[in-house]
Amino acid sequence: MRESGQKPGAVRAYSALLRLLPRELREEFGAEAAALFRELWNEARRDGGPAASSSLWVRSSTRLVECAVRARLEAWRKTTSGPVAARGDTGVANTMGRIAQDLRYAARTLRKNPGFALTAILILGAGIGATTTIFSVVDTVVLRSLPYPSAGRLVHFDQGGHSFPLFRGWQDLESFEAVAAARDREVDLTSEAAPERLPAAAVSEAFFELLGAAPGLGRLFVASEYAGEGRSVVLSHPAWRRLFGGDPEVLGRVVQIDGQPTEIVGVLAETFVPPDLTTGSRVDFWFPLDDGGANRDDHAYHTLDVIGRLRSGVSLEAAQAEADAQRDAIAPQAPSQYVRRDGTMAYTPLVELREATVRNVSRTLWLLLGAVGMLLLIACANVANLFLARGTSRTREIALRGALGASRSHIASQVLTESVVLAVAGGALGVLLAFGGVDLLARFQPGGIPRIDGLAVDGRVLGFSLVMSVTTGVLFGWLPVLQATRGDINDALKEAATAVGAGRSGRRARGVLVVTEIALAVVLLAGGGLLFRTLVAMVQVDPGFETEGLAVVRLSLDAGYSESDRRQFTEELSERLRALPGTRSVMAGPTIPFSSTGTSRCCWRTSIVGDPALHDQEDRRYQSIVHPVTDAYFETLRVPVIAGREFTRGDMAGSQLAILDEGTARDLYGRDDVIGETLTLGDATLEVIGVAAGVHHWGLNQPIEPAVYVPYGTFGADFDRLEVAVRTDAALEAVAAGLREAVWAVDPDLPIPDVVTMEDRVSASLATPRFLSGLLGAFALVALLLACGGIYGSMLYTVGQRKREMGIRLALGAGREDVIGLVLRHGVLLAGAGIAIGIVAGLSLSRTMETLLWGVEPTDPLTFAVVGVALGGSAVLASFVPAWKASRTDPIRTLGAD
Amino acid sequence: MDATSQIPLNPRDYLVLLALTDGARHGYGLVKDIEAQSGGRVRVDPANLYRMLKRMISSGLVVESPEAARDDGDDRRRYYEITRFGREVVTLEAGRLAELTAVARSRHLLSEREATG
Repeated sequence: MRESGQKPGAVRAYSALLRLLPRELREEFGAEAAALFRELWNEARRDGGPAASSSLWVRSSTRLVECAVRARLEAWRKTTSGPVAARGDTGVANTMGRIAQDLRYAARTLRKNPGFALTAILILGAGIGATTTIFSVVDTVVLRSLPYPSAGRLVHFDQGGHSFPLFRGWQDLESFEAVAAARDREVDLTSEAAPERLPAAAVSEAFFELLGAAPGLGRLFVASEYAGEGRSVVLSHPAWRRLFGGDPEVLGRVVQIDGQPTEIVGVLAETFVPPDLTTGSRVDFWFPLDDGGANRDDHAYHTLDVIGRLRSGVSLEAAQAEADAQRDAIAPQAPSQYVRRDGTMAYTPLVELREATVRNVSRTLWLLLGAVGMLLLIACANVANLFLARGTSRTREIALRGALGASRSHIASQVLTESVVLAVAGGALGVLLAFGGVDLLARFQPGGIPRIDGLAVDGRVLGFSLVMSVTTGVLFGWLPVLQATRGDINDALKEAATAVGAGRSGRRARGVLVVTEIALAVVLLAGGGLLFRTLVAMVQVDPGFETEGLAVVRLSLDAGYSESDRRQFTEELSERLRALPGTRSVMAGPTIPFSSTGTSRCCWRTSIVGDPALHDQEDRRYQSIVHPVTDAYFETLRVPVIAGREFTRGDMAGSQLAILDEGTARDLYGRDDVIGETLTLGDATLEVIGVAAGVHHWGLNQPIEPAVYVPYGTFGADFDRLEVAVRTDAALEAVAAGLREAVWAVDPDLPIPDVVTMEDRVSASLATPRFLSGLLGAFALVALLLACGGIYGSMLYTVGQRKREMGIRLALGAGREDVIGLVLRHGVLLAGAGIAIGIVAGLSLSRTMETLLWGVEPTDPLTFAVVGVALGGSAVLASFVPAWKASRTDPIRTLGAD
Repeated sequence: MDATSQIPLNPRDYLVLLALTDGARHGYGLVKDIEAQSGGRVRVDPANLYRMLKRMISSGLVVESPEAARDDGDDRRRYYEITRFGREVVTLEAGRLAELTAVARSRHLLSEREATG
């Protein structure tokens, strides 16, 4: 026994804590309190061991802190409000104490019902976790401001690339503090390891300063370098790590870029993030932008992306007005560029940079947030139902407390505290789940989402999660509070457990909740179903060529390649590729199917004229994309040539020939038989030698568009882009190895990106619908499970409540099937109401997702019908077990219970 | 001061005064008495105990009792006893609670055992 010896640590700690008490109290009673605690602690240790003494210490210390707060509040009240008799618990001290009391009570109550608490926490955790995950994405991508100084004032000069004269003009605008331009490009790095093609950008003088970019090592460009002196490059931080191992001696090193010796003068700071919209999210090399050289004054040469920072205090509208006025002044210099055919002026819209960066995805992300919000509502309804069911069994206890003087608001606050505690616990679980969810999303995201690299569960997201949890707790706690405080105490105090009409208002409330859950589940399922049908519709599209067995790669023949070099390269490479084992045929061209997918088009679009007579009648110019292709193009793709023939190797030597796709042929000549006709392409006159079947060139969800095929040898060599396709029986690795060997045999310095299969490219084009339908489908499934769980639980509880009634019915001669039918009918009624409401809501809401759908209407009846049937069937199943249990009621036992 | 102005009493204050009606107590004694009275459910911690005592002393319900300390031969500790005013107040409060219990009993909330136990 240590009573007379030195003080144990716990006692010393407690004495230290006593210093929190207000001075007066501490001076009068501090010593006594310390002595008393010591006595109690020793006793606890003696009787109950270290466990008892520790728990005593914890309890006493927390209450000491509480006490200190209350005492100080009491003292403060006394000084501010005069000699008010300090009666027991009043005012703020009262509230604080009550909150603490409520929390203790809530914790105790939940501990007594672990099953209920655990179920509720799991359901809430799932809902809050999913919501937090999606919110992380929305916050990172859409809401957070860009990581640049004064990001709110950054503006994008929208709609496409711009010319040098335009850029120079904009730099003179008064509304802007600074205007900068960037041109993104790819360069070949050939002096390190294997030749690599890397993303790069050339930027104007104001660019780095505009975005607050600072060098981490070395320096940025100086004025003379922007003027064209020397060849310097600044590395990005990740590129420095990856290519040069983070070597600080890299400054001054000379590397071969695009065949030219270039000096590394600096490395950007690690924190700098390139502007996604302007340069893409990954830039390895930065160069100074030249003044345009030969294209300095060319209004038709559009390559620059331009951003600017508004002067402080200048509105976007004012800047737009000034820019428009400037456009009016410039337009006469190049009217074909700026004046539309109908005489109106084409102005460049100014858009806030953040908005411009995320506008393609923000709508989809908000939709996802809405969907997951619905899931959370279902979770809340589910837990509210659990609460209500439990609440009915606590009616007695609550009535007792009411009779003994607890005010309505007191009871209400206690019930609410319980639900908020559950919700916050669920929120904690949800946050844990969100960490995993965010990881999964980052891994499986379909690509093309700007700013996604910074995705993380950070302070803002945690704050959101906390607010969500508390709101959720209040939301589903509100109904049980109403139930607890409304209602006559008399009714409640009667034979609550066995009265036939027990909890009638409770039953109605639970019914409403179940209907709500089902309606929301219908909406989610319908959304998921529509997206799934979009995916299916796209997958079923026949692209017009055979996608299996094709290996493809994109090469860039820019640095140091003349037109004849390119022709020669293509010929030699094709020869070598044809010699590879397993090769059936080889083709190449700047644009082959699925080289890019979506709504943008590359690379040569011009007006063509077929039958001139046909064209005089129609005012409109016929525009088509022109595809320079090598011989065996159609053979390699296995696109049927309907009439005539395809190009031969001999045609590559400069012949003026053309092949049309069937739709184009019909449009240009008004008939199918067009072999031998003349086609006017810009300045050239071509002879039509073949007609081929149409191809979905730009993606499965893109229409078959007009296409004119011309020989690569004649027209294709001024494009630096070359897509090569090999139809082969061999495996991909073998083809890839053979292809690399073949390319490097012709040009050892040419970087070769990954060789992929055409199937890979087609599959990649489905990435977004696949991702969206998967995600929404997952939400919908969870929603379905929760809704069915809700029905099941509610039915089970109702059956339990009405056991006496069932017993009476059975005793009076009702068959078991009648009882089953009774319960099922109730379940079906609820489900029916929910499905009906859900379908109406779904039909009106689905319009908002129209942009995500393809091949299916937002109001597609089949989808909604299937969803209705599925949910209806699940509801019946969920009601069946409780119904069956009801029919097993032993009337003797239930009736004899009294 | 009017005793009715102190009603209703904070439940903890009530327990303290109730314990003191049996005679003067020191801190440890009060803690143990209250624990016994409430069937082990209420365990007061030192800090709150003395805060309550300080408040009740300034309201005149409780007073320090050096005589009791001397009588017990334990003049290291401070003893507290209930004042006449305190007795008045605790009696009033007990009466109020008894009335409420009577209501509860009449509505069959309490079994015979609970009502008399």
